Amino acid sequence: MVDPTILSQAMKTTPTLLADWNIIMPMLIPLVFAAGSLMLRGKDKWQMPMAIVAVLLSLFGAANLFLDILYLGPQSLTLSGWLAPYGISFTADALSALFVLVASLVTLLILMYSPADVDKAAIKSGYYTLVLMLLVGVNGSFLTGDIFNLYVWFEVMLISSFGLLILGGEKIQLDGAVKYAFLNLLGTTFFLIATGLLYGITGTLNFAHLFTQVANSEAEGTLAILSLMFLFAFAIKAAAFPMYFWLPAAYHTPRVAVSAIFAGLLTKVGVYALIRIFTVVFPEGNGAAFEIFGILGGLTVIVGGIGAIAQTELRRMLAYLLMSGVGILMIGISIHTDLALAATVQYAVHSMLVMTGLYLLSGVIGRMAGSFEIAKIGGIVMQNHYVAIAFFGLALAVSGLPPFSGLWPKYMMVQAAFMNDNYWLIAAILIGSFLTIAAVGRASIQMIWRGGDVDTPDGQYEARGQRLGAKQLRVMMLPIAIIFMLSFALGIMPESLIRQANLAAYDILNIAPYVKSTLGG
Amino acid sequence: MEFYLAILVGLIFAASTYMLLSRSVIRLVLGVALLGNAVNLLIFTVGRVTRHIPPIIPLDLQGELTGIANPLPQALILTAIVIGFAIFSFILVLAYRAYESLGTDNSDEMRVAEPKKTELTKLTY
Repeated sequence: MVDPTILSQAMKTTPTLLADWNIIMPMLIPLVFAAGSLMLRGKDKWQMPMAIVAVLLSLFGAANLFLDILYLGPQSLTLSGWLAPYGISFTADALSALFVLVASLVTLLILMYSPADVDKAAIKSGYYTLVLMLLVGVNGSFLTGDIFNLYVWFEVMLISSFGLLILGGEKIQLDGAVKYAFLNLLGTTFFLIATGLLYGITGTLNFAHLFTQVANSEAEGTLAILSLMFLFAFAIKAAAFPMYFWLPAAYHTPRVAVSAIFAGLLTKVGVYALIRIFTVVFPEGNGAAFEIFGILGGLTVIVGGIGAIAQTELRRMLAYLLMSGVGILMIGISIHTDLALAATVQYAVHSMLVMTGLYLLSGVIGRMAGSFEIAKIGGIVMQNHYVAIAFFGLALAVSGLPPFSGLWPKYMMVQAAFMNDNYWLIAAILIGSFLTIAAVGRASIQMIWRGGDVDTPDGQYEARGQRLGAKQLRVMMLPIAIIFMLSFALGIMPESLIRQANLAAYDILNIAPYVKSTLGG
Repeated sequence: MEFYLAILVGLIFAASTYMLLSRSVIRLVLGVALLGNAVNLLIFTVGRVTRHIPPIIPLDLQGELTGIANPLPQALILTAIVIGFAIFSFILVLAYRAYESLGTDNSDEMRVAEPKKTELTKLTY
C-alpha cells in the first residue's frame, strides 16, 4: 500500500465541508436546471418558470457567496478529493463574487423580459436551456481557479451563444453567426495554444500555483510572448480594437433578449479573464506591458464612439457603444493602480446593467416603430412617455453624465490617469465620452423627438409598428425600469458600489490571500 | 522527437493559417479543424514526450518515481478533442445552412447583416 502520509500531500483526507460548496453554487444550480429543462423539452409551459427558479436560486447562491467573501476573504474549493494544484480548483475573490452576482441579476432581468420577446418556436428549440447554459459558462469562468478550466467554461459559453444567436435561422442571423463563430473560435483557440505553452513552461494550470511558478521561471522571453498571446485571445473576446469586428456584425441579428444577454455578459467575461490573467499569471504585464493595454483601450474608446455616430441602425449603434465601454475597462487595467482597478470594476458593473437595459429598450422602440433603422423611427415621446424617459436616462448613464451610474467610474478613472500622468488616456476617455454623447444625442433627437420618418412634418406620424398592449408593455418595461432605478441609485449613492469595487481592487492587487486560499499553508 | 513534433506542429499551423485566410467558408471550416489538431499536437509535445514508463504508479512504491510519462496533457487533449469535435460539427452545419440560405460561400458576398449602401439621410436638426 501507498504510505498514507505521502497520500495526504496530494489528496484530501477529510470530507469537504458543505459550506465550501457555496463557491460553485452559482454555476452548479443553473447547470442542474439546464439539464432538467432539457429533459422537459417539449413541455413549453415548464421552461420559463424553471429558468426563473434556477436563476433566482443562483442569484441567492451568488449573494451568499458574496457575503461570505466579504467577511472571510477569498474562498477556494478543489474538487474530486485531490488537493490543489493537482485537482481542479474553484477560487473566488471579491471580484469574481461581484461579477457573478451582477451576471445572475442581469440574466434574471432578461428572463423577465423574455415572455414578451421570445416566440413558441424559439422555446421549442431550447431558448431557456441555452440561456441557463450561457449563465453556467459565464459564472464558471468567473469562479474557476484553473486556467484550462477557464478554457472549458469559455467553450460552454461559446456553444450556448452560438445556439442563441441562430435561434430562428433567418438569413441575417446565419450571416452574423458565421462571423461571430469563426472569430470567437479563433480567439478561444489562441487561448488554448497559449495555455498549452504556459503549461509546457510552468508545469501547472492552477492560477495560484501559476503565480509562484511564473515568478520563479527563467523563461522570460517565452513568457513575454505568451502574455501577448493571452492579450490577443481575450481582446478578441472582449471586442477591443482592432479585434472587435465580429461584435457589430453579429449583435444586432438575434432577437432582442439575446442581444441584451450577450451585451451584458459576454464581453465582460473577456475583460474578467484579462484582469485575472494579468494579475495572477503576469502581475507585471510581461511582454504585453500595460502600455499596450492603454493604447488598445484608448483606441477602442475612440473608435467605438466614432462607430456609434456613423451607424444608422439602432442596435448596431449600441454595439459600438458597448465596445467603447470595453475600451474604458482596458484603460483601467492599463493604469493598474487600486483607484483605476476600482473604477474598472465599478464601470464593468455599470456597463453590464446599462447596456442590457439599452438593448432591452431597443426592443421596445423597435417594436413600436416597426424598424430598427433610426431614420424610420420617430415620435416615441408622443406614443409613450415612459419609453422616452427610459431612453433618455439610460443614454445619460451610458455617456457618463449625472445623475446616473456612469459618472463616478469615469471620474475615478480620469483621476487615476491624472495621478499616473497618463494624459493621453484622459484625452481618450473624454473624447470617447463626448462622441458617445453625440451619438446618443443624435439618436434621441431623431427617434424620440422627431415627429416621424425623415421628411414627415411634425405631428403627422403614423407608427408602422404594433401598438403594444398594456400588459406586454408592462412585461417589457419592468426589467428596464429596474435597471433605470439601479443606475439612478448608483449615481446618487455611489459609495455603496465604490466600497465593493475597492474591495475587489484590493483582492486583485493583493494576490497572497487568493493564493493562500487555493494552496493552503 | 520533440524537435520533429514541433516542426510538424508549425507546418500544420501554417497550413491552417493559409486556409483561414481564404474567402471560401468551407476552407475556413477546414482551417479551423486543422487548427484544432495542431493545438492538440502542440499540447502533447509541450507535455514532454517519453516512451518507456507508463503513468501508472506501482502499489508498492515508496518515494518518488522519475522519468514517468505525463498523463495530464492527454487528459487536456481529450477534453480539447471533444470540444473541438462539437464545435466543428456546429460550424459545418452553420456553413452549410449559410450557403443554402445566402446562396454563396464567399465571405466577401455575405453582407446581409451589414448596412446597405444608401444615400445619406437628410439632417433634420
